[in-house]
Amino acid sequence: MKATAAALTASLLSGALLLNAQAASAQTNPPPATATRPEANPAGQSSVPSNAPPATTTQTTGEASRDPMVKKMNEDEKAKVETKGK
Amino acid sequence: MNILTNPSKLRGFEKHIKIENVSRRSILKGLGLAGGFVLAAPVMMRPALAYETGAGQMPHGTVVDPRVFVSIAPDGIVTVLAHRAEMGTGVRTSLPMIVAEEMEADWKRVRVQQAHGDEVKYGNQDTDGSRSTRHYLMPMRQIGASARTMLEQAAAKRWGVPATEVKASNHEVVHGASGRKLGFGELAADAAQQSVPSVEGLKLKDPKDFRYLGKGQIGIVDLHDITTGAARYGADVRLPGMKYAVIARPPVTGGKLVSFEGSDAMKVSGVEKVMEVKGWPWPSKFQPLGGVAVIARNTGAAIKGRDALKIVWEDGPNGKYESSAYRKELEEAARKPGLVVRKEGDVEAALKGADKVIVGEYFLPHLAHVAMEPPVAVADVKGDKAEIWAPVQSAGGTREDVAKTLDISQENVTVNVTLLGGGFGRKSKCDFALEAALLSKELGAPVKVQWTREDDIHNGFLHTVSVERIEAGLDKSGKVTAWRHRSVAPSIASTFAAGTVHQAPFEIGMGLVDMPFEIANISCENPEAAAHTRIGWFRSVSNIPRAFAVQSMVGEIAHATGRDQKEMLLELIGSPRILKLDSVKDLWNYGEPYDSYPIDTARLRRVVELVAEKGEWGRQVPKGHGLGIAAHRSFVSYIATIIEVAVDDKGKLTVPRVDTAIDCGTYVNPERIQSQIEGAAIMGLSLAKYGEITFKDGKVQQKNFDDFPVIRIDESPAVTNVHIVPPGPDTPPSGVGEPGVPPFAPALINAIFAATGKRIRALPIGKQLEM
Amino acid sequence: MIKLKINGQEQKWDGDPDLPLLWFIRDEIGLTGTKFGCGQALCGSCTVLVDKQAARACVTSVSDVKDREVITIEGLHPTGDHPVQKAWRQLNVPQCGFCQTGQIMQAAALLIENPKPSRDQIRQSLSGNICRCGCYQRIENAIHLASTGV
Repeated sequence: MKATAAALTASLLSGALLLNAQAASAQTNPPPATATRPEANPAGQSSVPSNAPPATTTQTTGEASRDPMVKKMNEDEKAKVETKGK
Repeated sequence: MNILTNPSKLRGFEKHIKIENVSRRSILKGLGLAGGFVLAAPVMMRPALAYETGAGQMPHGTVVDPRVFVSIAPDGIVTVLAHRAEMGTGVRTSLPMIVAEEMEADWKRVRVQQAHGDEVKYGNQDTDGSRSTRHYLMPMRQIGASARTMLEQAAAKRWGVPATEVKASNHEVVHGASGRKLGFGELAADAAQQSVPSVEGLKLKDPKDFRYLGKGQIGIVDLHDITTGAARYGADVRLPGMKYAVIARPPVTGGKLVSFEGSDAMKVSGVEKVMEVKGWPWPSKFQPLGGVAVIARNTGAAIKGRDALKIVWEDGPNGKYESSAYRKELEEAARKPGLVVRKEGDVEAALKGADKVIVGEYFLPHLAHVAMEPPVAVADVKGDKAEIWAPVQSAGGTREDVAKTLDISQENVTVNVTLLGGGFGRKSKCDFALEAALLSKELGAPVKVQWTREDDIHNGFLHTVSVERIEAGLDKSGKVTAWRHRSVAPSIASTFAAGTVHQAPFEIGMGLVDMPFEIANISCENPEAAAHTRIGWFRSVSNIPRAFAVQSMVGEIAHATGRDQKEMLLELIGSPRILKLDSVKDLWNYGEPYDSYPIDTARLRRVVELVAEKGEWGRQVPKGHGLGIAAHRSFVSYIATIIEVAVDDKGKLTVPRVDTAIDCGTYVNPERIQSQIEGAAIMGLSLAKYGEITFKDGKVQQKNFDDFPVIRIDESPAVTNVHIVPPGPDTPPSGVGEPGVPPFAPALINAIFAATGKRIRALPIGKQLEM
Repeated sequence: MIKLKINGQEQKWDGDPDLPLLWFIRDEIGLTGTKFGCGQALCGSCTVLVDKQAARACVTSVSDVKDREVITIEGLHPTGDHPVQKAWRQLNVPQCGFCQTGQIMQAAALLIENPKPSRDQIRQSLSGNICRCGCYQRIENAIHLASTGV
């Protein structure tokens, strides 16, 4: 039964990556894996090197928001988390 | 296998509900609602409960009007609204089940519907902090009891008999004397006409009559749909004309878009548009980071298009964030005094006079949530109206933030809460929903914004990074006389306030100042640490590093004094008592009133003793195996865990057995408690063995499950046993979703020490056992 | 024009032949039971059957399954009563449920190949399917139940 399954699969797949044909696992003869996949770090995307100082525990970064809506959201959320924790 | 310890002994619950008179004036105060008489629970709750919870202090408190939560169709089908988000804890089943129980509905004829985001209508919807059951057990019981009363009143009127002669029972009302019966469906219309009873007069069921509560025999409401693929998560929402979008976001927190070029992206088959997404400078709560969106006919085309974008970013002030350098900074800071947040006796003198001082510096890295469902949201904005479909933990907060971001009124924002494919705190932040709203508004079409796994790991709100330094001073007899714990970590508050260098009270209150040991001289300090990335809540939050440090130190002290770990732990916990932390300013106590939820060392001792009994502490284990124990109170529940590990001669670690005892007070659904604790063990093992997010040049270095691995089935414990403490008659319900996580890693590390003699103080274990 | 069969029904696609089958199934056809979890065949959420073998739809392109039979969770059993699905419900396996269709499809594939797997074989076969909620003990028990009826 296993031998037949392996033979059938071998004839159907073209250019497939055939793993160990004797293994009983269902993953032995998967279909090819040629789909495009997301790039973790796409080639055409880069950063301008930062001349920021080292990021230490004492050096705070981040800007106080000038957008009044966000300023209020931040204040409200800070007040909320300080009493309710979330 | 699963072991539930005496789950069904709930005694005398109802008689402890003290009913007091409440003036009508205070009931009606602050309603301001159009139509309908809604009982505003924050005012009602206090007098009507034997215990008070922090529910009334949450934004919008609780609502107990049965007409808001329950509807009955003429065919008898009862629909109960679930107003809290479902991310796997089972609250979408358990809370409606409480209603069904009290109203005497037949669960087979109950349907559950998810409520929209509307906290004025439903009460607080922030599904986090392990609060749903502890805040809503009583309100849901009241809702069910009110509905039952209205059904009984309707039947009594129909029959012309006193209401005292009728009784609801399993989906019908019965008049005992005459044997007459009417089903809920037949009574529905009349019941809706009855006045909603006042909370003082409600009669709650005697727990001995519970059919569902406490039994653990109800399957989750979405069970069938989950097994057939019919269950609907955020990404499963499809609308006519909907576009698919993925967004390239600044790789460094606080970074900005300099320029982009989309012509290659536009050439990708299926791509329709490339556009900038508005961002806000960090810190801006949950506002989007901004970036460049690719709009396409399907997600695959959008992803492929995004890969073809040419983008230049400016990294900004965090462009030099690098993890090993930052760790050194944390360690330096922990070796110097910091802001004192708890002080008893004179720790400095006690340490100087100690016979022996043990110093432990424990390091825990950033973690990413990596819920199986990456963030995703669908938005359809038309003019000044917006409809959102998203897996959000905070439906009410999402509605508010969408309204503010689009500058429209909240009344015009509908937030549909889909099932969440895991949350763990990540989906309390609605940035992904705001992105969808912004794009939909810009495009004039419905849009689905899909985050890839890489996006999820690169641009999340990470669990903080910390060093916990504990110095324990021992006298000649081995008794601990001094305890100084310094905790240094960037705060979640940095996500809302630039310049934050200290942890917030709620972080200080998670395992630092509420340390329960009986020690004469204690100092807890919080030196400064600034954040260089977005920090957020991760299941059990600061309890992870704190329990790791404290419980590891217990193991270290036990070893140094030649004592058994469990005995050492019980000795340190000390006598059964309620802690009075007078030196702690504003003890957070998980937002709960201290009277209802004091720090009770008897309960902590109880779970240690229970797990030692059921987990067979001290049992013989094979060579290369070891047992470790840890216990921790968090989210006002008490947990103790024993882990058996095996370490082979190559340093490979396996876990043959885990036993956990949990005291979560009065409980509703023991089967879901068991699944939460089983799951917490896996999450604990993942963070202990592998979990590590590191930064270089300001960027997260990990990208997917290959370099940020989590535990898979072949590495999971062979056996996990959960033991639930039967609650006392007056014990309020307490948290379940998070408390299982913190004790796991220290119990594991203590077990590894027992097995190998190797003490690991920095997570993840990684290759440390192979050295 | 690529022709393929999904759950017994013929489908056609004349777009990008390299489109991952996952997105064709979810976005173009509208069968949303197959989930996106990682896009790199690391998590197993997108598991489907291709000619009765488990495949990860996120790395399988539409052209890879030209003229082949694809079964998704929706097509596993007409009334959702495959032995694995029934065992899953009997043991109340899911927590959040997101990974579960992938787990079920992988389990179904395993039982085609090996109808009475040992617990160790179950753990090995399912090791490509991540469950972040940690339902593993129940998953193993459910597959054992489905294969033995005990």
